[in-house]
This record gives sequence, C-alpha cells and structure tokens, in this order.
Amino acid sequence: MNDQRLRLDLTALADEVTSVDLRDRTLRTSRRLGIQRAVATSAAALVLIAAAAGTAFAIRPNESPPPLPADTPSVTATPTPTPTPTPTPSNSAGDTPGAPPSNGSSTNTPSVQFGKLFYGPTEMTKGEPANLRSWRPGESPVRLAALPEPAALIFRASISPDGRRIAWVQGDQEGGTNLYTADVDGSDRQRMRTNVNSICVKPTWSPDGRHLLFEEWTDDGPGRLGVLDTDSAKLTVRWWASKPVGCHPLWSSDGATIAMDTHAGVTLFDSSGNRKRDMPGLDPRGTWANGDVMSLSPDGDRIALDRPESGTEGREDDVQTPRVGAVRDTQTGKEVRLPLGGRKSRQVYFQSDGSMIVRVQVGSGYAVLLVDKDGKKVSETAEPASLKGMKILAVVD
Amino acid sequence: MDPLLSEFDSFVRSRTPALLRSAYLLTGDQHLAEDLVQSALARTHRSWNRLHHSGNAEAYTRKTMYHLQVSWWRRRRVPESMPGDLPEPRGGDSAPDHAHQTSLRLTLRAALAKLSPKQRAVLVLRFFEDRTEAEAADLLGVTIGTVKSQTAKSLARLRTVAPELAELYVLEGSTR
Repeated sequence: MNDQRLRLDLTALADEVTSVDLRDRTLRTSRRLGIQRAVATSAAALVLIAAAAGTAFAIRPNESPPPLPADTPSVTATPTPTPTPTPTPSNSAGDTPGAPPSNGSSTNTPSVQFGKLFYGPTEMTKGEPANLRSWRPGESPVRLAALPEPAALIFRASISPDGRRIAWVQGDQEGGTNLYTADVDGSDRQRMRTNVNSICVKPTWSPDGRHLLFEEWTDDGPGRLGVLDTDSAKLTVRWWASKPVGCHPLWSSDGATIAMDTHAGVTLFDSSGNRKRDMPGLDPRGTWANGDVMSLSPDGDRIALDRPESGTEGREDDVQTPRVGAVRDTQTGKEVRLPLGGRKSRQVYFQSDGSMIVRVQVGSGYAVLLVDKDGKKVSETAEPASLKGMKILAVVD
Repeated sequence: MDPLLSEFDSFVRSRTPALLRSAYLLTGDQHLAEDLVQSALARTHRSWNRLHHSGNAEAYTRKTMYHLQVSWWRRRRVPESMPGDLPEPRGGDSAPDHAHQTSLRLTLRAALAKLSPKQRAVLVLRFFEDRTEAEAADLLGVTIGTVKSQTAKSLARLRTVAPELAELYVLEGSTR
C-alpha cells in the first residue's frame, strides 16, 4: 500500500491552480442568487438594500426598530380599473376529484373541517402564464386566474382570507412594479398602487380582507411598509413608523400580530409595525434560516415554517430542492409534534379555528391531513395528481 | 465597513487558496475551479449571518462545493475529460526526474478526469484533504458505507484507466 504516494501526487497536481481573489465575484454571485431566489428569502431583500447603498453586502445583525410615534396617513392615486384577464373558473381538464378520505381516524367533526386550498406553481416557466387553482378535499380542483408572470404567483401573490380576492405585484414595461388586486377568477382587476417592492415583502391581506400590507419601492430601494385600505375611495395608506428589515409578512387572523422573517429569525409586530418580540429558538446558528415562514396561527402563538431538507446544502436556492414543514410555538420556540405517521411534512397552513392543514409526501404524490388545534389528526385525503407539481399558497375557511 | 462584511472578506481571502486547490482536483480546470469556489462562497455569504460565529463556515463551504460539483455535472455533464490546454508546470527545471514527475502528474490528472464526480470527490476528500470516512460521508451527505464503496471503486477505476499509476501506488484503498 502506498497511499502516501497518491497523496503527494494529488498535492502536486493541486499546486497547478493559481490562486485568485474571488471576493468581488463572490459578492456579485451572492447578489444574483438573492435576486434569482426572488424573493422568497429575506436575504434577497437585504442584498438589494445593500446594493442600493453601494455596498453589495447586506447582512447586518439585529437592528431593532426605534419606538414609534403615531402613524402618518397619506393618500395615493385612485384605483385604475384595467381589463380583466381571460380565464374564468372552470374545472380544469385532467383534474380529478379528490380521493375519498383514506387512513383517516374517521372522527371528522363538524367543528373541524377542511378549508379551501389555493395552489400555485412551484417554478417559473418562462413566457407562460401561471394559473392559480383551488381545491377543497372531496371536490374537484378548479382552475382560476392566470397571472401573466408566474413569478408573481409564486412569490408575490396572496389570497384574501375569504378566498375571493388575490393581490400581487407585477412589473410593467417601464420597469415599474405595481400592486394589483383581482377576484380569484381573474375578473375585476384593479391597479392599487405603483412603485411597490416586488421582492421579499409580498402584499399581505389583513384578516378582514380589506387592507393590504405592502412595501413601497423608491429610487433608493425598499422604502416604507404601509397598510393600504383597498375599500377607501382614495386608497389611503397608513404608513408604519418603523422600518424593519424583514420579509414574508404573515398576519394572524385575530389581527393582532404580524410575523416577519428578520435577522433574528422571526420577529412579531403589532399591526402598526411596533415590534413585540423576537421568536426564540430561531437563533441564526440554528436549524431554521430566514425566509422560512409559511403560516401563522389565529392568535399568533404558533407558526408554520419550512426549510430545505437536510442533505441539500448548496441547493437551497433551487426551487426543486425538497423542503420540510414544521410548526413551532412562538413563545417558547419549541417544535410542535405533528401526526405525520412517519411521513415527511412538506407544508403546513393554519385555519382560522387553529386547526392545521398538513401536506405530507406519499410516494411521489401528496396527501393532506386535517389536524386539530391539539395536534390530533382528524382526517386525511389524497391530493389529486394534477396538483402534484404545485404548492399550496393559502388555505381559507 | 460593515463588520460582517469585513469578516467575510477575511474568510474569503484566507480560505480561497485552499478551496481552489480542492476545487481544481474536483474539476481539473482553473476556470471551473474558480466558478465552483465562487458559487460555494456566494452561498456561504448568503448564510453568513448564521455561519460567521458558528465556526462552521469552511465546512459549510466545502460541503456546498462538493454538492454543487455533483449537481453541475448532472445538469451539464461537464468535463468528462480534462481540457486540452494544460497549465505550464511550475518551476522550469528540465531535469529528467522533473520531466518524469510532470508526466506522472499529467497522467494522474487525466485519470481523475475519467472518474465520476462522486468518485473524484471521494478521492480528494480521503487522499488530498485527508478526511476520515466519517468526515467524507458527512461532507458528501452519504453513508460511510457509500464512502467505502466509492473509494474502492475509485481506486479500481484508477487502476483500470492508468495502470502505470497503479504500479506506483499499489492501490488497494484504506480504512480509518
């Protein structure tokens, strides 16, 4: 045996390489990755913030927002009705009815029921519009609005809590980014506001479905966060006095809490942007990274997160990288056990009664579990195969 | 300057040479090695907020580098063979012994190019970085058994594609 000889020759071979300074190239690549991921992560926004500041580097530890004065109302342009997209609700070809409940505990009670699940594409197909779909277990999937930009549906759209409206941010030909709302079938499309950040902070509906939390986009990059009243004639905006660096806001259904990805992991705010507290257990050194929030329980006491599956290091930005979902207590940071039956949880969404919809991997497809507030499985339904390539965007009661 | 940026700069500049050496063995090409290290470092940068004080930044970067190398190869099937324009050997000594060493190195280089990315990665980890089987398994995200079998296959492949090296190395694999 002469392993040592092999070692020496490998070392000699490695000597051929010329060392170069990769610092600037690395930062450029990092920025590009952030933009590509578009957005699903706070890092992307932070990189842009830094880019706007001319530093191209954006990680700044735990900035706490200052104490807040009263919010400042302001007024925006009036809504601009625009032609509606063509799609209308229909049972999509190839969609199959949901399979009857299987492996359920057959203890489905009237008080805990599946809501309606909304699905969007998992990846962008260039040049092709993406359709929103909805499905209620036991019924057939329905094809809904098509957004001209798949990215808008993947990263920048949210469904109103009553399941009637969709809000999204879309770019225009002049390079601007605008906030739109429409019925989920694509009708009654309205432009709500111009110069809205399309990255990181997607428009987020208030529990009453009237207001939208969004972030403005300025010449210097991301601007203020504001709450837009979609029912007001002048589309009034109430601006947050604080300017937290965060992404992916979630608004609890009791209206009292907004959770965002921040440097601290997850930070909880009140509806005016006052910081309440950081969630423990999400230390930056921990398992969960930013950009992982998915759904917030009605009273904000639990949060659903997801992260790349272990063993996928280096592929976190790849949309195909499998992710696992979990629920954590926002007070203690501890993980809440889910009745997965040995399967992997891919997505978790809270319903307004505190019950959860848990999407689990079953072979090459999925099933959805209805789990009550106490963590007990109520029922389980196989997901139609036509939804296999999509991901859940929202669950409404 | 942002203190985190300063820390990251320092990390990049101190670790790039070592990372490039491993990357060069993995890819067999200066430019591909630079791309690989740059891509791994960019991902490290994006996670720097949680990595910088964990002491695991280099391990994370190397892990990322090995995963990227395998996934790039899967996607693009790049370079099955090493590029033709070989870099000039360092030095300039034209003595017969040096010529012999150069020839062996080029043979090894060509032989490595005939291994799969995983086999190459296992060899680099075990015989260049001097990692244990457990460490190599962790970095590659595979079991120790896979590392053992891939090591044996890699050495067997080297014996096949470069018998002259096999004579030198008497390759049989090793276990730690």
